Amino acid sequence: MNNIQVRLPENELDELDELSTILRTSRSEAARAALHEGMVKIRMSLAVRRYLEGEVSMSGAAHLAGVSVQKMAVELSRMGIDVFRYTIEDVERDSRFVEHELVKDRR
Amino acid sequence: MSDLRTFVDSSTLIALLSIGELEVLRRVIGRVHITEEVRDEVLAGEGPETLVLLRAMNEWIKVHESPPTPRTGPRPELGPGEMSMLSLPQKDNLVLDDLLARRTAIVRGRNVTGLLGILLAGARTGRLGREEALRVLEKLVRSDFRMSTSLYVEIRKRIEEI
Repeated sequence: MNNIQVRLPENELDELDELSTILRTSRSEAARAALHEGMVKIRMSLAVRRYLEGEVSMSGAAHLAGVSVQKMAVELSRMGIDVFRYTIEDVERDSRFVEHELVKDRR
Repeated sequence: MSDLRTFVDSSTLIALLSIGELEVLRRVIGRVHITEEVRDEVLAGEGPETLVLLRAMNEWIKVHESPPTPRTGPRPELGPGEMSMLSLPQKDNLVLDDLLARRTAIVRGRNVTGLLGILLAGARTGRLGREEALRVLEKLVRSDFRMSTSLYVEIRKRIEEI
């Protein structure tokens, strides 16, 4: 493991000590846990936001969040976010394409 | 013999695997193709359903090494699977369900379709029975791959009208 120095305001240091008491662990252990969970959450919320704004695909969001595409779908579902975001007109167009180009050319 | 190839994206495969209906693709389209990047995205899920993909890869899903993605090519906002699909030859058909990936592909003049269109076409051509198509739609709407209620209602109506 490596050492890093982080400057913390007094109240956050108190919170960290409180956390380590609650978790019955050392201050370092509590800081590592908070940092880890915080990084995961920050990446996921950034990924979801960018997905909602149409800046990344679901797969792109999964990469931003550092999770699998499957996990990303579960996360979006949990938040009530649609994955199939196209219209019935798109579905009709897709269907016609499959009927005319793919089914007849089956192999 | 036609050299028409249809490549499928990871989100489409994961959606079908999650409801145990990967065979829908085979029934409607027949043999399909995936890039190595798409395969890796699906296998990263590590669920038991990835075994179903591995089995299908021995039978009716062919995996291809994709050409290197050009620097001026697909947008970095897309995932590696989608980028690999956009670098395939222009004549290959693409099955994409992500809105951004679809838009990018359409702007590039690609032939694009999606899972919901495949389901509807399957029912219309008789490759899937009407009841079967409705059953798959029901499973999909209850899965982690959400769609709006209005989209679900419209597709259901169209299948029921067949």
